[in-house]
Amino acid sequence: MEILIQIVLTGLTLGAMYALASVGLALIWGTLGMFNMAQNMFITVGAYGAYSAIGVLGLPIWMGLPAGLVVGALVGVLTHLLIVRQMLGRSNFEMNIMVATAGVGIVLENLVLQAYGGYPYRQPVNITGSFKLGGVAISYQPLMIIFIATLLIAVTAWLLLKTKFGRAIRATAMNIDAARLMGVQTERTYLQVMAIAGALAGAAGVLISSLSSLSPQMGSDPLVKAFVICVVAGLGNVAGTGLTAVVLGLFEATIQFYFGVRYGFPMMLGLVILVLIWRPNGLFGRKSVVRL
Amino acid sequence: MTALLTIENLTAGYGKQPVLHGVSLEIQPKSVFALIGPNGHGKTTLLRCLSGLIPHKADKLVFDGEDIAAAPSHTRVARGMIHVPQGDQLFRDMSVEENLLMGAYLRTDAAAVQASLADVYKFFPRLGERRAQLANSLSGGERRMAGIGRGLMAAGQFMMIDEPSLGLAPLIIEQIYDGLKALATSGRAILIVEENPMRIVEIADHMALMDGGQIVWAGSPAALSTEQKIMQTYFGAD
Repeated sequence: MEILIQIVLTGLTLGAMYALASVGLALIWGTLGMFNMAQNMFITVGAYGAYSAIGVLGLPIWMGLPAGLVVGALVGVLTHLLIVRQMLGRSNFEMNIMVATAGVGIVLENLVLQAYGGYPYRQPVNITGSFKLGGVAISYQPLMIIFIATLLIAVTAWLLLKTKFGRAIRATAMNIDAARLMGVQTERTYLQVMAIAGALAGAAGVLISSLSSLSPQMGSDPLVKAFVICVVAGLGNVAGTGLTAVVLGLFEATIQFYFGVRYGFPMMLGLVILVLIWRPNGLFGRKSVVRL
Repeated sequence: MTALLTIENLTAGYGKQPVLHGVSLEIQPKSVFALIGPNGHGKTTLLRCLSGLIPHKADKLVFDGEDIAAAPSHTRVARGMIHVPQGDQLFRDMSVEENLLMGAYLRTDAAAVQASLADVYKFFPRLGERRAQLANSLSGGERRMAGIGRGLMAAGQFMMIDEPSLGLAPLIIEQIYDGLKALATSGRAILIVEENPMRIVEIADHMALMDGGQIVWAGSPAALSTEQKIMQTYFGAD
């Protein structure tokens, strides 16, 4: 029982962080049709943003998460204005934008390295303490992570599914010409999507670093996993992405517990290969490209 | 009478390939204008230019007294130029009702939008029955109704409808045309693009024939039937 509680808690924590990192990736893919290789740095920069807001500017701890959200959104917006917008609609966009955003990622990583150095700072946005449940000590931090990630994803889902704002984003993703005929300013929709994806990634960065530490490369591992999750879910499917993230998080936690931490990721990739053999378009994907 | 829409010498193309070679047209308020002609000669391209989806040049492009030559699509929609595109172009993973609400995207008066929604459901009762269904699960006729209904939701004074009968069974075409007849008396100006003039002559006030990216004939529906050469060349009439 204690083992089960531990595994489920670890799995849900991993899943929640993965989901937060992946949903933005799926949203960008579904709407702009691009794979954002700079997503890892949206994560990293969000984490450093929170660190600086608390550790350097001396803001209260609860400001850490909003700081990560805002800084992440800002990086998303800048990436769009400076790079993506210039390349949209040109020939070979899908390939070129991968190279371009990878370049953005490298530049940002070195900027972070330049500004903060490689020292593994501790993320001050953290709550300590624990309580006992069925003989297991459960710390508040992972629960907080699960709560915050769930809340942010729920808000995003509500925005996308229930508001006029979100309807315009989904319309743009499904049929851009028709969206423009309805009066949607699709340029602005793209900017909004990049801001939302940046904000979610920034928040993911804050949560991820609160469990380990800060480093300029901290976003790489989550990006790879987020990409894997998006492929398994079926590219561009936001709801499926969230669910897949949680399932893969639980799977990874189970493997880590029974076989050791180093087998977690390889086994996860093995599972992914099996899933893709079984369903080449992903679990929630359809034959034609599904967008949102 | 001042024209609602004046187009003078409009040219456009895809890449370096010209498609429209100087189109001039006038659409009168509250009238039905039918643009007919064979496939692939620029009718759809003209509509896409008018709604601002593709770049174009014109000596004059005036809608409702305002120069819209440089206006982006959302501005044109806001002024009341509504385009019901060919093949419906519904938002496939949205419900019928969400599709209709997208039609009212630029309208801010929630009560008026709800009233329009009720009107559309009255106009096409079938859509009311299917309101919660996803657009991609609709039949061809229902899709066409949803496309036109979505256009109606914008409450614009000018509707451009591209091939309302395309790909539908004859019985369904009758239903759609019954709807268009009712629309024709609603006080809007309507520009209908059709390949075949046979049905459209009943409701059109003015007609024009497009061939090779140019208007080659314009006149009244009654005049068209007397143009034997045109009828033979384009529509295979004896």
